[in-house]
Amino acid sequence: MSATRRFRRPYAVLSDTFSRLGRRSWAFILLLIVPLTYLVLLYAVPVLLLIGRSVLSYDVATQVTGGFTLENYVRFLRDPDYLRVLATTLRIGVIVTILDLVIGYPVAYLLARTSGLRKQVLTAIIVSPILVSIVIRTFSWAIVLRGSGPLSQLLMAIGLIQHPLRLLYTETAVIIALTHVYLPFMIIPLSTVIESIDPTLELAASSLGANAIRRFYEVILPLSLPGITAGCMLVLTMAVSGYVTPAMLSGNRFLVMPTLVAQQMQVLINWSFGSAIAVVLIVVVLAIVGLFSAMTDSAAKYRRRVA
Amino acid sequence: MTSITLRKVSKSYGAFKALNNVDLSVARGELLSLLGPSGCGKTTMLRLIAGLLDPTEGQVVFGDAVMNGIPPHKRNVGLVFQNYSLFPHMTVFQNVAFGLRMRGIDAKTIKSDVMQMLEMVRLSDQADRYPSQLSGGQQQRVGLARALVIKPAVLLLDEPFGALDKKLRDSMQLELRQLQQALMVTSIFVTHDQEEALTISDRIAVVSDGRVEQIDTPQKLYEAPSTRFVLHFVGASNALEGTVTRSDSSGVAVQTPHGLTIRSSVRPQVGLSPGDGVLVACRPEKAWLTPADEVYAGNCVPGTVKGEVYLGSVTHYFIDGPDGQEMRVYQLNAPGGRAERVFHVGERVNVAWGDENTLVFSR
Repeated sequence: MSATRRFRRPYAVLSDTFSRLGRRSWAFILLLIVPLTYLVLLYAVPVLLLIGRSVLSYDVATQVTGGFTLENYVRFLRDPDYLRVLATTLRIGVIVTILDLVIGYPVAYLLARTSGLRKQVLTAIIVSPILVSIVIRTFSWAIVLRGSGPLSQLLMAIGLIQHPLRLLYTETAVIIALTHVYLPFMIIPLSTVIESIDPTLELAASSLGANAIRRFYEVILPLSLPGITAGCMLVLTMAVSGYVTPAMLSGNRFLVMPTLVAQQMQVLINWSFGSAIAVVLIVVVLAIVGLFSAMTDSAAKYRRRVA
Repeated sequence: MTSITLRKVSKSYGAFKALNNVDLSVARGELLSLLGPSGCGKTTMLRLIAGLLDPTEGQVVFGDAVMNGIPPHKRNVGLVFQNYSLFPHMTVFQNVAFGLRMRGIDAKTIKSDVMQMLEMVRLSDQADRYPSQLSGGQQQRVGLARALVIKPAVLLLDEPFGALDKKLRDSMQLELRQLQQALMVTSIFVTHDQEEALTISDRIAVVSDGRVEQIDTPQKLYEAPSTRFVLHFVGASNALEGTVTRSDSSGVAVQTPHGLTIRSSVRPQVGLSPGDGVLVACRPEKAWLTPADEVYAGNCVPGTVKGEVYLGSVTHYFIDGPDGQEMRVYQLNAPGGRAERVFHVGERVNVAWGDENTLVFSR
């Protein structure tokens, strides 16, 4: 029961742990105080301030903050340029997610079906990029992708292209880098779920006449659905809210939501409008989480075990 | 359904020989059990037949067709697993229909075939439930239905009832046997449980160390084991080492180190001559006890009762034999005859049996 619940609601596992501790026990309260204080001070308060700020009027010229208004939201939702930024952000997020799923699935399967030293080495290889700072990883991509960079030279040398690549400072560059940066976050949850699929199910399907392709579509794929939704949720939410990579690889030639927020707050010092954009992004991310949560719920129905 | 033959099959993993030159044949419609301790190679044999493994040497033959190199999904075998291995995301109906669907059979035929099969395993009212909503016994009946509905050339069962409790196992064995005979499907049943093998099999192959020790009917296997391994693995026995003193057409006489003489009139051992070391044995229910002062003219081994276990229909006596060797006598608690006599712990007794019940094994 608990193993299947983990896919549906991560917090259910937590609440299980706490109810086992006893709701009124001192241990329970002590355990909660530190993380709760941390969350309230460093997360809830800033978010509330952000929301509060987003409904205050602000005059850029006079730098005067006024009273309550929804003008900031109306301005964002009415302006096609801002909506285009939102569309770009979502497009990049969806493409990155799909690419990570397609690239990550075979790796996740391999990881799930190996064991011992091979598994440890494979895990280390998959996780190791996370150990390098995202700034360094993104900067490396800038070097690789620029017109005089190694990728461009290689493609020209083998005659695939005639002119230097114009990849850097394009959406494609951001997509390539984000796909790489978030790949481990797709592979790990996926392989955890695939690992929980009994390998004899594949033998059973095989003996019943299913070839490798049908074994995949009929058995492995539907049973790995909880991992697919978990991985996609992680990657999609991170890809639409990531700042460093688009900031470094877009060259300010196009904006995504996080860079737009930064521009409003840091360059134009319009905190009210910046806050409104940030709130829109939060709502979008929450909607994504809700959507995937609903999908995992329906996918988990058959996984229910009779206690 | 068809006959299954293994011809001089070996399977090696590097230097380790999991199977060594195995010859085996299963007749059409026969249920053969592969019985042996874990790691003896019985599951390897099953996997070779299913096509999940390929032999290093030798041939796997279905009917007249050599199956080497043919992948499992083209072999038409029905596999039943110990852990059921039902598809958790499919209903009972969808599980059973899976094999037919893979064969591209039309939906109408699938529906009638599946429902008919579910009828046979008494699960037609559970068709729309998921495996997780069923009991272990029901799940394995779905497993059986799923494997049988494709009309497999051979039904392979890998310790299918190992996860069930004793009572359920007994009724499942009976049910499997009835189903197997009704459908006349050639079946190979892997188990390490000798009682289970004796219950359901037409014939049993006792497997040890990658070799087949003996293939025989349950009765022959128990009454006339051909090797020491079979003697010890199937049923209990009272075994004594000794030296042949006489060997002729009427049987053999064997002297034990304790000065006892054991005679056998069973299947005269042509290969034996005086001086050969042998093992003589007698099954516990073939022997009986006499008081120490009543010496039986046949085979008679003195000892002391060290345990007495009353099991209702039978009483098991455990005897301290020569050199502290444990001997067993199972006495049927039926009216009349020897059973009237009761022995108690500490009593001096003789373990006695007739010459026709002495099994002899050369070294």
